[in-house]
Amino acid sequence: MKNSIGITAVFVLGIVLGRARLLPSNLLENDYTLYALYFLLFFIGIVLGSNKNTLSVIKQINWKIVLVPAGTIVGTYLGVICTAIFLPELSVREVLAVGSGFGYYSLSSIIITNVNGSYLGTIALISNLLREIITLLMAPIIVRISGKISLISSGGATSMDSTLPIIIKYSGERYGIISIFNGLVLTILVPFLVTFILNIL
Amino acid sequence: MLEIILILLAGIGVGFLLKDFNKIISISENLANISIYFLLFFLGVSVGIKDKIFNNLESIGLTALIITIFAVLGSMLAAFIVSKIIRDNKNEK
Repeated sequence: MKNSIGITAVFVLGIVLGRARLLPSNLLENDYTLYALYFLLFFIGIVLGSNKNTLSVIKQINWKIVLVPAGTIVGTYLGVICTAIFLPELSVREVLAVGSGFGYYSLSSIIITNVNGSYLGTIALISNLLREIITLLMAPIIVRISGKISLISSGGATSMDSTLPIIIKYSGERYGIISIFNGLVLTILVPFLVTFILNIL
Repeated sequence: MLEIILILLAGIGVGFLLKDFNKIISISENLANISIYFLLFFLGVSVGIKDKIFNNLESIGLTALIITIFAVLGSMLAAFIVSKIIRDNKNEK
């Protein structure tokens, strides 16, 4: 679901074709994308709801592990709020929306584009792609600076799939289940958090 | 944007009920993937068409990088505190 190279390629192809004005100009004026978003949300819901890992993972963990995704959320929000100070072009609400992707770049950027436009959507896509890339590349450094759980938090929603192998390598096999739990909770929360922040703040 | 939440919840409900129908789940996964590619292609097209965004892609990328660095640093700090709490509780036992 989170194939970063394919996603980047499709996004860049869109930029090139848009730039070349090869597409009919009324293409963007029609709200095809809104229906595609609803379609996407429904089928992503089916995938999330049918995940058999969810129950078996929840049975294996103790309640303290809930602190890991909670820490990821609180820490990410505190971090991105700081950036609103020296990024005058963005409001606190907007940086929080971007941060709420937690690395789940496809769905977060699509929802943000739909609610707030393609400027913030593009920031969200790049920022959340970078979250996965930074986690993959900096894994050993992150573990050395602040520990094994920090690497899981850094991965955010991706800690259940694309960054899981690197987390197991540098944090250890023992942290695999915490990593999957953190990613699972965040993956489910991403669409809700992004929507709430854009509409309530 | 209540409809976003409602449609998602409807999907989650249907997915939970149909979780043993592997074929339906894998079709849903493919349909979700296709629509992700479709929508991100259109995000690309709108970036390409809008000069204001296209000409500022460099600064947009830098903005995104700054947000990501702080998001990662913030979660590292919070996770460091969480790992201390979990360890302290273990010691009490």
